[in-house]
Formats: sequence, C-alpha cells, structure tokens
Amino acid sequence: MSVTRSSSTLRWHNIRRIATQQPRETIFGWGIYSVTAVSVGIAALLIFNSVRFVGESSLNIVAQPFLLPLQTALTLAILFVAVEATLSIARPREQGSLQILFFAPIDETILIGGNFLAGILVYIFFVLLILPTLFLLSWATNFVIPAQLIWAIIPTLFVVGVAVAFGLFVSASARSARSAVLILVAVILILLGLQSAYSALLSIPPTSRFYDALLFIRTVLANLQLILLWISPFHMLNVILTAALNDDWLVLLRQTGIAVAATAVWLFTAVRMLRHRGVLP
Amino acid sequence: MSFASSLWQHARWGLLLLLLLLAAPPLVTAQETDRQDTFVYGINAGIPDAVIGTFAPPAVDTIYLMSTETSILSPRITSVYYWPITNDYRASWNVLNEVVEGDLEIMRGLQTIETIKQTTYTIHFHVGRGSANKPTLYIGADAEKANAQFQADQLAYRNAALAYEEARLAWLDAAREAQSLGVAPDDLPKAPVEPAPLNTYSTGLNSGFPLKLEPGDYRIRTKTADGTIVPKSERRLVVFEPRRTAVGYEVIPEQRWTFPEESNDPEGAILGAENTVVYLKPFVTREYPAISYTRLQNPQDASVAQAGEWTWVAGEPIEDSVLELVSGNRVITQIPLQAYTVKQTPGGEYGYEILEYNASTPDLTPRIDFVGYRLPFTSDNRNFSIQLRSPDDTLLLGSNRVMRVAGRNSPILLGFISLLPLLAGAAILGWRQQQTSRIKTDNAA
Amino acid sequence: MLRTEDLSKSYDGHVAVQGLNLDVRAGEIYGFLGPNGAGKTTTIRLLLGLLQPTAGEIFLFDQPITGDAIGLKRRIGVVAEEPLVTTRMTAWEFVRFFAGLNSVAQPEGRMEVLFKALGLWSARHALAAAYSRGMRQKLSLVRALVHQPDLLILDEPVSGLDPHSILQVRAVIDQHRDAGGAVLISSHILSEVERSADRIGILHNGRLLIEDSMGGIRSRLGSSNIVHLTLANEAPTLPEKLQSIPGVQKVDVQPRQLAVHVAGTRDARPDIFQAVVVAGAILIEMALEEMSLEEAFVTITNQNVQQLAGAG
Repeated sequence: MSVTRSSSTLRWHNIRRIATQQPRETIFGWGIYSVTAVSVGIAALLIFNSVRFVGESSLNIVAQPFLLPLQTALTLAILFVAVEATLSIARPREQGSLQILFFAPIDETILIGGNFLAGILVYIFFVLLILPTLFLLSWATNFVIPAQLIWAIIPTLFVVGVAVAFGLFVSASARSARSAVLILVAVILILLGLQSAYSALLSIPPTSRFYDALLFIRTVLANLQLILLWISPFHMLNVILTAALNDDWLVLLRQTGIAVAATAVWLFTAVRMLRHRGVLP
Repeated sequence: MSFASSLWQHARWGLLLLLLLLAAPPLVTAQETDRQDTFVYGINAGIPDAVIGTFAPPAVDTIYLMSTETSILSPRITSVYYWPITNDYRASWNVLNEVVEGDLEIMRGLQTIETIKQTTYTIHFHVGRGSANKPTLYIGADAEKANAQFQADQLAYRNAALAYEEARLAWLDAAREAQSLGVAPDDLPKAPVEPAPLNTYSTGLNSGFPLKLEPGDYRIRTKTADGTIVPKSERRLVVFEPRRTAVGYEVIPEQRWTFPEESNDPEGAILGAENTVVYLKPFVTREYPAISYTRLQNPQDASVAQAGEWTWVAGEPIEDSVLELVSGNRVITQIPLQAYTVKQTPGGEYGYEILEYNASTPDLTPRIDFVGYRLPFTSDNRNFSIQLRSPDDTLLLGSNRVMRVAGRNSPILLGFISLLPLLAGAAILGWRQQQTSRIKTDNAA
Repeated sequence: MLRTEDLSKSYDGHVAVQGLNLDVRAGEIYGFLGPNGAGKTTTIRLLLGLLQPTAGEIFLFDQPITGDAIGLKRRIGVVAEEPLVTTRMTAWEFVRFFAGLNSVAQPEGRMEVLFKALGLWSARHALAAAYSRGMRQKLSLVRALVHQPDLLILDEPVSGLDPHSILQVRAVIDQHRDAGGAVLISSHILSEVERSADRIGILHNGRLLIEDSMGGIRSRLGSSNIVHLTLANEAPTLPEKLQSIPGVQKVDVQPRQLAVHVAGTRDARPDIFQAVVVAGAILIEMALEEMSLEEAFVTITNQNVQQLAGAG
C-alpha cells in the first residue's frame, strides 16, 4: 500500500500535503470571507469616493483608480495570512494537537514549509475572491482596471512570503497563541507608529519652538524608518505594485530579491525556533 | 533567567548603541552654525525648459545633474552659514564671491575620464509664452558675444527709452499747448511710439565648468594649476536621464477653469462626469528618479526619498498637433488646437463663459486666455481614448489616455458588491455542510 | 523492532528517564506500565523524537532514530493519550490526510476495513472535531493503523471507552499483533494490559524495574500462589500435613476453609489433593489464585520505594 519514496521526495510530498490541507481549514471557516468582505468594502468606499469626486468636480485624474483600493485589499489580505501563520503553530502546540501531526513523517522543515505554502495559497484564494468584485466595481463605475494592475498582483506573492514567513517565525517562537498574536500586533503597531510619529514630526513647521528640540528624535525615526523600509512587507507591497505598474523591472527584481532573502531568513529562523521550542505544549 | 530576559539583557546595550549611531549625523551638523568662508560649487542645473540655480556647500556630498542638458558648476569661495530655522546652509554671495581657479577632474572609479577647463558663460532668461521663455546658455566665446550683444541691446533700449521719454514729454507739452489753443482732437500731434521692452535678462558673464555627461555615477574635484586638489572640492556627481518621455495634459474643467489638473502618466485615466466639457493643453512630460530630481533642485534636501520612486516633470508645451478621439481602434474625430477667451458673466452658472477666441470680434473675445483642445464627455461615448498626431502625421509617443465617463454613484450597488465575498462564503460553507453528515454510530445504525 | 540502550532524559534537574533498556519485538504486545509520573509519556516522546534524550540511544527497526527519522516514522503508528482532533476535516478526510502523509496509495479500502472494525463507518463523513472522546480515541487508532505500521505505540488506548468499544479496539490490536506487528501499550489500566500483553515492562521513577512475561514476573518476584480449599468436614490434621508440603509457606485456617500459600510458580495442587485425602477430608472445591498484575505492580513499585528509602 505504501509508496516507496526517497526522503527528499517524501519531504516535498508532505510539504504539499500540508500546504493543500491547511487552506481547506481556512476556506471552511467564516474568517476569510469576513476579511474579504471588509477589504472589498473599503475598496468600494474608495471607488465610491472617486465617483463622488468626479460628480462634484466634473473631473478626476487618477493614475490608477483601482491601485489604492487594490493595495488596501491586498494589505488586509497580507495581514490576514500573517495572523493565520502566526497562529498556525502556536495554537495547535498550545492545544497539544501539533504533536499528533509529528507522529506522521513530519519534521520542523516540512511543517514550516507546508504552512508557508499554505499561506501563499490562502492569499491566492483571497485574491481570487477579490478580483471578481473589483471587476464588478469597474463595471458599475466605468473606471478602468488596466491589465497591468492585474499582472502586478503576481509579484506581490513574494511580499506575502515575507509576511507568512515572519508570522511562522513568531508562531514558532511564542509560548502561546495569545502571545504570538500580541507579538505580531506589537510589531505592526511599531511599524505604523514609527511611520505616524515620523509624519507627525515632519508636519511640525520650522518656525515651531519645538522644531530644533525634536530634531534628534526626528533623525532617529528617519533612520529607523529607512531600515524598516527594507523589511516591512507593507512598504514592499507598495514598491512592488508601483514598480510592476511602471515596468520598472530593475526595482521589481531588486525588491523581489530582498523579499526572497527576507523570506529565507525568517523561514530558516522559524525552523530553528521550532526545533528549539519543540512541538509539545 | 528566561530566554526573553536574557535576550533583552544582551540586546539593550546594542539598542542603545544603535540609537547613538542613528543620532550621530544631526549631532555633527547641528553644531555647524558659525559663518565660515569655504569652498562651494555654485550650480546652474539645466533642465529641459529652465535653469535651476542652487549651490553645494561642503556638507553636500552629492550633486545631481541631468544628462540631457548642459549645466554649469562654478567653483567659488563664499561665506556659508547654517540657518537652523530652515535646517540648511546658505551662502552670502554678496559678502564673498571669489572665483577659484582650476580645472574640474571627472572620475569614474579611480580613473580620471575627463578634465574640464573653466570657461566663461552667461544665461539669458526670456519673457514669453510657451517655448519662447526657455533660458539660453552661452559658453565661451558665444557667452562673450551674447553678453556683448545683451549689453548693446540694453544700451540701445536705455537710449531708446530715454529718447522716448524726452519725446513723450515734448509731445505732452505740445499737446497741452494745442489743446489750450482749441485745436481739434484729430489735429493734435501724434504721440511717440514706446520702444519695445527688452524681454531678455542676463546673469552677466561668469566662469564655471560646463557639464553634459552620460548618465552615471561620477566623482569630481577641482585641481589648481600646480596640481593640488582644492580642499572640500571632492564630491559625488550623479547624472541622470528621464526614464520615460511622454505627453502630459493640463486638463481644465469647464466648470472650474481656475483649477486645472495634470495628467502626466500615460497609464493614467481621465475620468469625467457625464455632459461636462474639459479643455486639454498638451506638453512634454518626463519621468525622473524622484530622489535625483528633488536633489537637483535642492542638494540639501534631507527628506527620506525612496529609491524606486519616480516623478513626472512637466516640460515645454506642444502646440502643433491634432487631438484624436479613438474608440476601439478607430479614430472617430479629430479636434484642432483652438485659442479661448474666458469672459466674466455676472449671474451666470459658473460666473464666466469660455469662448472660442476670434480676432475679428475684439469686443467679445479681446484676448487669448489659453489654447487647448475642447473635449466633451457625453453619454453616447462613455469609453474612449485620446492621442496626439503631429504635423508629420505620426502619433506622439505616450500621448494616449483612457477617457471614461464616470458611472452612476450608487451606494446600494457598491454595498451589495461588498457583500459578495460573504455570499460566496455562505455558498461554500453551505455546500460543505451538505458534504458532511451528522454523527451516527454503527451500533445505532 | 524497538530497542533503547541506556536511555536517559532529565530536565530542570529532574530525572524523568534513567538508563532505560527497552526491547519490543515483532509479533508481540508489550505492556509498558508505571504509576503517574513514572516517565512513560516522556519515554514515548523520546521514542518519537519529540524530545531529545540526555543520554543513550534509540533504535527503531535496528536503525538509530538520529538518521532517517522521517522514513522511520512511516513504519510507526501512534495513538496519543489525549485524542485531540482540532480540525474542520471530516473523520474520513482526517484519516485520508494522514494516509497521504504516510504515502499510502489508495487507502480507501484499508480505511473502510478499519472504520468498520471500530464502529465508525456510519459517522465517517461527520466532522472529526464533533466526535465524542471515545470516538476520537478510536479514530486515532484508525489514523495510527491506516498505513499498516510495523510498530504501534498506544498511550492509554482504551481509557474512556465503553465496554463494546474496548472489545473492538482489543480485536484490532490483536489482529495487528497476529499479522506480525509489534505493539507497545502504555497504560495504567492493568487488567487490560494483563489480558493482552505478551511481555510487560514496569517503569518507576524513570527506571525500568522489571521486564518479562506475566509468568516470568511472578517467578522473578518469588510470589506465592494461593490454593483455596473448601471442605465438607473438619480435618484437624490437615493443616499440619499441608505445612509439610515443600514450598508451602503458610496455611490460613478457618472452619472448613483453608488458604494454602505456595512459594514460587510451582503447581502444588496434586500434593495438596493428596494431603486432603490422607487427612480424611472431603473436598468440595479447590481453586488456584495466582498473583495478579496489580499485586505484582504494587509489590514491585513498593519494593523499589523501600529500596530507595533504604539507600537514602
């Protein structure tokens, strides 16, 4: 009955098994549909706003009317798969069911690899849910979705890879599902907080008496932001979408390379952390 | 000790060090507030339809120039001071503006690829409409010739203006006298003709290094005749070119002609409301690396510009082409360029009226306010595109734009579309529920 | 099939397993016993590679598990103590998923046999998470057996099962053993182990105190059998005659009822019968009471505690 396979073939076989099973768990729950509905809702709101603007001012010139809605929807998709990845190991480990998976021919690499691909597949499913609604919005508003924008979604898979890999790293490292989610939320808040704080400081006019006093903090934030820009999936999404739209292959390749490298680093550390923490509660 | 606290113990010193390192640049620059006489490069950076004057103090490591235009770097000793309110260095040219003699060495890697002699130059700025106001850069003998011509023109104009003033005063006296003698208005002496204004301004003769290099990353330095390198003259020089050149449109809505918008990106769309009219003014537009273009204008710009960001820059107007409306692959109509007059109409819907300029009706259309292509958005043609055809019957690259008449604003429809993922979810989960059965045990069965 | 050599595991200064030498052979059911905290679960986790040993080695199918652990796992089926199934899969999908992980081609036939044998066939398309604890326990056994492993490791396989289910599980396990597979049962339900195990190992404080067949354990413990006699009449000389039989340790006397304690595993019933006849007693019933696993377990673990106390 059992098919004889070499160890590496068996590994790849089982990575695919997990990768195809995990998305079923997502597809058969309400979570993904709720988040997709919110994404489409926000996209519709942005499009609605553009239509309103045309109505009020008779004119709207937008480089890509669907770029921001799509980017917003994809950002939520990335957040969703990142949260899923963050729970994918920590939750079953906490419940005690992760060890049952390890009764099968599974090891840390297979589990991380499988969950990684699963995250990518969930993202693809998310995109497939969103796209028809965007085309419907295009039909309803007569706003154009250029084919280039659709093609631009493909390289975003590399960005999702970073988010999923990071989520898996957090999941493998955390003591519990709750602490895993808290770590992820904290990281996102730091990313957003840094951006907001820097923007707020930039908005202080040079004539303000606090301008010079805040120079130190502003420079620290600016430099920190420069570092984070290299690793933030949200920034990567922005750069990759824009580069793909502008046929800027050099930037696209460079950012994709950075994303692949970041993904590899997070996956490697996730495997190491899982080995360190183990699969037992 | 837990792993986390141990990690924190080690990490906090690293974090502190990182913060100090990150803070290092402002600590250094913030101290330089005293005025000092130092070497700088005065910059006249050429861009397609202008010349931008700025300078690079020693704190600026990199100078940005365009490859398509000639620019001038002028080695100078001047008085530089730090102005904390705007957070930048400023030069007091009127206090000290001393030419530094020497040649400019241009290097790629460690190899000097070119040495440029310092030469005289002058820039003439013109007053006019459209491409006529593009500044002219003269170099070497041309500069001296142009400067001599400019000075001659200036002198001629001054003489003509003086002669005119004298003639005007004489005419006024004569006119007053004739009026007192009861001479009929038609028989009064003719007024003198005012000389045409001088529509050119000049920077005067200066000396500097004219540069027009291939795009790339260079290093430059100024070397005196005895071979010594002038202190603080070594800089990085980035020469860049536009990534794309296209046709941009200034779009003037008929409803609010004082608020025109620009469409630079050929991939962009122009969305209009049904039964409205817009006027299009085409121009050449070029896309540059954002960081390079920003720092060409201000080498001290410290904003966090990101690599991979691009910016469209509007250039010279295009006034010799025909606008074509395309539906599918078929040109459905051609629209010629037309001059328009905006006439104020108190009590009207918009408070003004845009009329086709007609020289034969000076009362109705006394002047040209703008020239452009009139384009209506109608319900008959909701999806179309535009393109520009030049006089030699070729399509202008990047002149195509998608034009769309915006659809109805229906919140209910948009809300319904938002719910579609939930409906899809309900369908999938319903199907799943049908696939799974309730629990029955074999014994019970 | 499964062998450990001086296997030890300690963490945070606590020794969970110490110098464990296990040997589970093909075609046998090995009962792995021990009180709570003896180190049974730790041992199983070590065997599965879920924990790394502090010292010693584990050999599965004569290969150290440090080598091709993935390949070795395909030859093992495991049922955990807690049959957790946190999934949105149906029971059928759940087992098929694990069959896939074990590279079983066309597992449906095997799955049908197992689902039917364990009484889950009618509920196979129900969500596995909705199963009762007992059903999940049986589902775990289906999962563990679907790829026809050579070695089956069961941690408390019948706890929480109703009598009917216990019979179903027992039959499936026996079938696996009869087919040449090895079974390691870790349990605290001693009667269940006594009924099925061919050999037994008793673990206490991380140390394997004894490993033998049930008879061997009795013999090695030097335990006494008790022969109960019920007489129709009084026979005053009988206790003395019984006491003189070799191996008889003591005789408890009650009116018309005697309990003869015989040392070792020798069957003394012919000698006792002869003594009854010689003493003129009329025998109504003679019953042999052997030492139960429970008694052996208590004896062995108590001895160990006393030894440890003495040593301390």
